[in-house]
Amino acid sequence: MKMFKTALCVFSIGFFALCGIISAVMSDKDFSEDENRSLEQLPEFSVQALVDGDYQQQLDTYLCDQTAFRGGFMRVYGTAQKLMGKCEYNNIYLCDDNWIIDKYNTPKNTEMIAKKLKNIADTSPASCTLMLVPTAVSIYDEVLPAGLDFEVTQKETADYIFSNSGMTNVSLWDVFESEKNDTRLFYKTDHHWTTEGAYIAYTEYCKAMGFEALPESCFDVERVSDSFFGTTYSKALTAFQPADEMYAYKQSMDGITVTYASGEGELYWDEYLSKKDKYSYFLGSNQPIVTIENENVSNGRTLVVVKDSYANCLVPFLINHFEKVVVLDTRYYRNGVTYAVEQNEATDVLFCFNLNTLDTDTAVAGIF
Amino acid sequence: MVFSGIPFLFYFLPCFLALYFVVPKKARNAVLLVFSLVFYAWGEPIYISLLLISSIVDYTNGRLIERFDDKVAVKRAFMCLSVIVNLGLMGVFKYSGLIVETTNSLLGTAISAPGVELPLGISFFTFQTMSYSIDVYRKDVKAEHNFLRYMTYVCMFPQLVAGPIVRYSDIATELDDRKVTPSQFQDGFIRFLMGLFKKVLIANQIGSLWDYVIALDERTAAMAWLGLVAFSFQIYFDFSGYSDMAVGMGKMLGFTYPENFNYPYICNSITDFWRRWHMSLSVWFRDYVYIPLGGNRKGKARQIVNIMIVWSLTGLWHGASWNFLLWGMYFGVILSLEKLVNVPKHLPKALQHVRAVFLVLIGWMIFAIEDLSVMKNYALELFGTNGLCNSDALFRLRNYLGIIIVALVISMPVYKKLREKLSAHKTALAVVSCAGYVTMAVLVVVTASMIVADSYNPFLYFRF
Repeated sequence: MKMFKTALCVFSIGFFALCGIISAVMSDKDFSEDENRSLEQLPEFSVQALVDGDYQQQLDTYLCDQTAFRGGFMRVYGTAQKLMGKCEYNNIYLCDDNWIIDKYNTPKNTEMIAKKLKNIADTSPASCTLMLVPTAVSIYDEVLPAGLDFEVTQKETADYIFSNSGMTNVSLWDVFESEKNDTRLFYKTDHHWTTEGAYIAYTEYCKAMGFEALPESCFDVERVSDSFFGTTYSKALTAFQPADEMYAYKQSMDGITVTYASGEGELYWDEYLSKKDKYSYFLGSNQPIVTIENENVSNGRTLVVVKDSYANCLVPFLINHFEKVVVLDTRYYRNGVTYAVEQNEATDVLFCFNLNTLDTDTAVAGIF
Repeated sequence: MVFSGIPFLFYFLPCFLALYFVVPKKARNAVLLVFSLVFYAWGEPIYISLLLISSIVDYTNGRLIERFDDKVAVKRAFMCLSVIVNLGLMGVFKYSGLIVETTNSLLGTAISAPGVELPLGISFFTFQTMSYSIDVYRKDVKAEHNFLRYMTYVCMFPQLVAGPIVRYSDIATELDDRKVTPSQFQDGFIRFLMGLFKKVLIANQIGSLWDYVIALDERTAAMAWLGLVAFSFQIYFDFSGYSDMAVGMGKMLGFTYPENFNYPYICNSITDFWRRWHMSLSVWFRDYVYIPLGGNRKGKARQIVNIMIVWSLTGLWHGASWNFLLWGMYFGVILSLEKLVNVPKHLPKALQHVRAVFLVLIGWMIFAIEDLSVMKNYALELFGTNGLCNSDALFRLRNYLGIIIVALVISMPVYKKLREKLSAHKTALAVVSCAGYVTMAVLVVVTASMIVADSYNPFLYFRF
């Protein structure tokens, strides 16, 4: 028994000391992919900073940020939370069947958003369509922790905006509800929808626009990753979470040119597949403007897409129905939608936003 | 620096222990002092001057009181000087903001507050140095002649910032000469771990529930009570965890610090609660305020007055805000009533306990909410002015049920009782102990992960 006691003390003190030693010996990291932020570096010493206490504070953060095995510790932490029966922390829900789902907070700007959209719909020369995308929290309610009570649901928010925006509406709730058991609509570890989910949305969009949607057989469906751990997982690392698979619906790119602000490129950015942030594979993450021209289409139509990152995996479907598609991220594109519509002589505009971030998304401010 | 952080656990503590036990015995006080100053300077470099002033004043006072032992007036003057300097430091650095603010709002003046930040641990070290001078004056203890030793007493990091309030007389001999056997060291370290677990695994975890509840615009009764329960556990495990860590580290070094908590939530009256909660402070006020005022020796009426004085001061000691005074007076009134009518003894045991816990919970409400109008609302909500229960309250309960059950069990002497029961059965006791050690080893890793998680800030908003 005495041996056990001694062993515990040796183990614990050794553990603390070793963590310190290994952290000190290991070379410092600049960036944490798990957290998507820069890590604190060794502060510069000055007497002034020492007296103010700033030096100590930075040193404190530095030592914490550069701790060895941070990822491992985070996994122990998440697993412990799960074992304690915790099903909500860090703004996510730990759900049944390994789902990690972002919370939906009560929206505050619904009326303002509807007004902004109405204003555009009334004044724009192009015909405007609005697609609001539910997120997993609204569709897979059966895996959510029991007893959750939302003051306002995503559907209620969307319905209000739909009926006040004055645009052609593409609502996805019914179709997602009927497809959710057969199709993986969302990633379990990320806040985005899957390409499969986006494909269904595309068919709904086509119905609303009077296009004939291309059947799945027209695409070469390729599994581009089987090791995707997304953003919701970053908030709740656990030991036993299986990775998500990511698919792309590829097609012949003959006659199609993709132009970014930085020059010509591809729809899909292979380099992201080896990084943590794999969803950026689609259209290269947050691009202020992407222009896609398709010589194979000649219907005189040009589409402007105003969107958040959800649309990044939807856009590759849309290019088959327009001569030109201009994709704007209004958080980074500063000229306003009206300008882009006039400049490109657009015939159609699609507003595509997910419900979870719509309320707080600074992109909405860029709609003018 | 805090005990439950990476810099302390991974760097400071291992370095300190290595150096402390490597140097010859004579140099150990110096090592302890240097590390204590680094510990303090980590957060409050300039306020080291306050520590120094307080130490020098009371060291000198002690010597002078001893020297003028036969001249009572002179001796008394030096003792008073100590009290004035220490209370003066507290007045300036802790209460000046409150005094100015209150004066302004009462008289309509616009005096600007001095804008000083509260120096870490000031409430503890001023009380310690003050008690030293008084004890020397009363001849309860001999004056310390070695300044290094005295400074070590004032500054030693295990109890510098959060108690317990260690009186010089408690550890006078140990400052001079102390022995630590490996078994004592281990017991001390295990005590430290227990405190660390209490702080990190329970207090920090359940604290987020209280943060959630108090941030709501309105609460149903169930939600309000859930919040109070969360706060009660948070403050107990936070504070007693810190005390455990201090007592444990003291033991590792060969010091015997006074105990500070004794399962306060199993109390059967408020009198009993205050014999179990923050004991080193209650004893301090008893010895230096209550008894000098006459205690219970001058009749019932005077005793009640004394109780009210002591508990008002106890309240204000906890923080420079009027709700703390209210909190102290609240307990003053209850304690007086318990003295006068002896209420609890007439009730069945279970009811005594329920009554005491109820009063303690209401006390925490007064303690936790500074804004009196918010407090009033909260009090009404406890009794259902915003409905009895809602589904969100049930969801929160479910989310925190695991931790609440653990907290409840640990706040009762279950493990202690189990060991006592098994004391006759050697093998059973051995099995329980081993299971305990193994569990603790696992918890060490989990605790480290919780501490790392505290510094883990996923910054994800801009990545869509």
